[in-house]
Amino acid sequence: MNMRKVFKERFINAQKRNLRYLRLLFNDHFVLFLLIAFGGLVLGYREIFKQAEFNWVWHSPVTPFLIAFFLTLVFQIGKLVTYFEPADRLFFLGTDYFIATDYLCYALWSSFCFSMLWQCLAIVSILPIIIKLGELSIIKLITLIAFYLIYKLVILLLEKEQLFQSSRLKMNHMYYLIVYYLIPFLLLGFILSLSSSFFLVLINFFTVVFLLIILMNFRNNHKVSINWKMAIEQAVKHKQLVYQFYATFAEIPQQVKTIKRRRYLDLFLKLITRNQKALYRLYVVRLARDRDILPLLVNILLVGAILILLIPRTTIFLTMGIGLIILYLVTFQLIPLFKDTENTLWTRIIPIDISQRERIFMSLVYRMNLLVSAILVSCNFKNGLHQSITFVIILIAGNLLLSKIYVPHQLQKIKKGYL
Amino acid sequence: MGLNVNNLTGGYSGTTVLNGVNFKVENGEIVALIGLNGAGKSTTINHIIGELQPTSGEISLNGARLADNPTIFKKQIAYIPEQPMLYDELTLSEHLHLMLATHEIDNVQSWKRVEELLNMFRLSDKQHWLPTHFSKGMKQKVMLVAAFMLESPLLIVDEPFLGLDTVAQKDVIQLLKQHASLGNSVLMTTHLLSSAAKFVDRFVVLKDGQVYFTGSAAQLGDRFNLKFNQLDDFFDVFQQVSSYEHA
Repeated sequence: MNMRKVFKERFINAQKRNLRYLRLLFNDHFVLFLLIAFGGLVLGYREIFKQAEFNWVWHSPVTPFLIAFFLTLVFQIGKLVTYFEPADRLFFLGTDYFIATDYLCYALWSSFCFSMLWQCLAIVSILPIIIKLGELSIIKLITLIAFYLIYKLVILLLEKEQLFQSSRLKMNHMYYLIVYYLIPFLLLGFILSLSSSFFLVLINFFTVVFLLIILMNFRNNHKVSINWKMAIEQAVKHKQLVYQFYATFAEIPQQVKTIKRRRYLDLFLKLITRNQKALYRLYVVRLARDRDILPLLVNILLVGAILILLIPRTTIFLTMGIGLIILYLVTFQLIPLFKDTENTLWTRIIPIDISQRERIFMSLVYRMNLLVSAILVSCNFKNGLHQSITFVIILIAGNLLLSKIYVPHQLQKIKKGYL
Repeated sequence: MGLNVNNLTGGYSGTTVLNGVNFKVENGEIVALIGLNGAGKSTTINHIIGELQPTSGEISLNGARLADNPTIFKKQIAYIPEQPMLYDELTLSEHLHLMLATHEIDNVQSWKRVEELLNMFRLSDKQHWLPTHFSKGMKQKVMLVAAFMLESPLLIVDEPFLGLDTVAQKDVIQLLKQHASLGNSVLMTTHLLSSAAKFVDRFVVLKDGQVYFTGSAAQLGDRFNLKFNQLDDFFDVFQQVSSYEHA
């Protein structure tokens, strides 16, 4: 069995699927969000170079480590993507060696190429700051890029090793933090602060030696056996993450619903649902334990908050646009919660009629949007009271429009089976 | 020779489920692994198919140890899981071709056997169907065809009768007997003891991750004071016996 062919077929199928979803994505609200977010980021980025209040950036010894922190975050993009499926444990029984030597090697290199794109983009985007810091020699730039890419390859090799039964490396949380965050952060910060070419060459040398040691030690042999449980779990998790990304801006049919207990939220849930209707409690609890919607809401809110913090004071229309888009995205993400709750037989047998269920859901959307608005307004306080009051009025108007017109319209569509 | 499970200790992610399990399935023999829920049946099977790594002990098939070359070892196994596992994107015939290809079996010669099996399970006209169009029983039949067509030295079947109609159940019993008569080993798990007693050579009873009893249907009946037609009550009696012993 040609395992390379199997991987190539799966890779091509996955890219076709991605293209299909990207078409959905770019037809939807994503382009608008992207344009505004990109515009906000560029404006914010430009301010760092123009405004005197950011002068400390160019003289502070902390700056290289701030850059290293940013690069370390981007470093996390691009895990080992295997495209394994649950049925593989049955149909590929007895192909372990070929999977290790052929299939996973292709998976490793394709994952590396994908992550390399992101990493190069990160370095290019941060290059103006590195140049302004001064002392950017060719050797420093080469060391930075070489370390960044080689270390990523090492990480992917370690991820591949984890998929075997007899893995010599059992990653716990501590190892994970050290290998994925601490080492790249410290070494990148070190590279950016160094000016001696000798040390830079030394770092390059040791990085290559490290890679060779890993390559020599993790060679496959006939005793290799795939840990299917872990391999399939990892692949399914990755697939869900990709769907989750698309689901931020478009409806994804293949998304499987998963839940997380989140016991630490119990007390908070009890507090906010006290004296509330049973169905309201149900919506809130389902939202708090949802593995997809809640993290998406938090991500959207975080992106919005960062953008509003970065946008300069003079561009109030941009701030308002971002605020309204964030409210719209939060509402858009909450709709599936209603649909999914309606699809549960339990909801249909409880003695609360549909119009009441809709009203309760609309009040949840309204309150969620109020909470989001409060956070966004607090991020905008740096721009003065006058601008903040305008921002509050705009957000309240947006919230009313969404919860009184958009949400009822969407719920009607769900009732008629169009959504 | 056949399958030899020797002093197997292991389990899932740090939890020990099996504690020194010993049993054999000789060539040409059909052995049923039985026990209450949580006794370790699925864990034992997962160890044999190489999905879990034992903390100690050894598994070998016709003299070849799993630990020495998992790829070669697993190639000698055909496995039918309790829950059917299929690819949404592949048709029935594409699934069977894939299984033959991964086991490096000549397609043209083997396809005659496949057609016989498809006829037997009334799936011949459904070769171009996708799994989404199959009922649960039909999916189980696809699993059975995929396993029996391989004619592997060791066949492992997790609950062979689950989701099958009575006609298909009879066909499965006939196939299992035929498979064993060719000198292959069959290891299965089941809760339907009276049906299994008609064709199983030996029962291996697991309790708390250890082998509690090994013997034929008659010996099992003697040990637990059950007549042949009362074997389906075995688990009730076994639970009572276990709780007395525990007390």
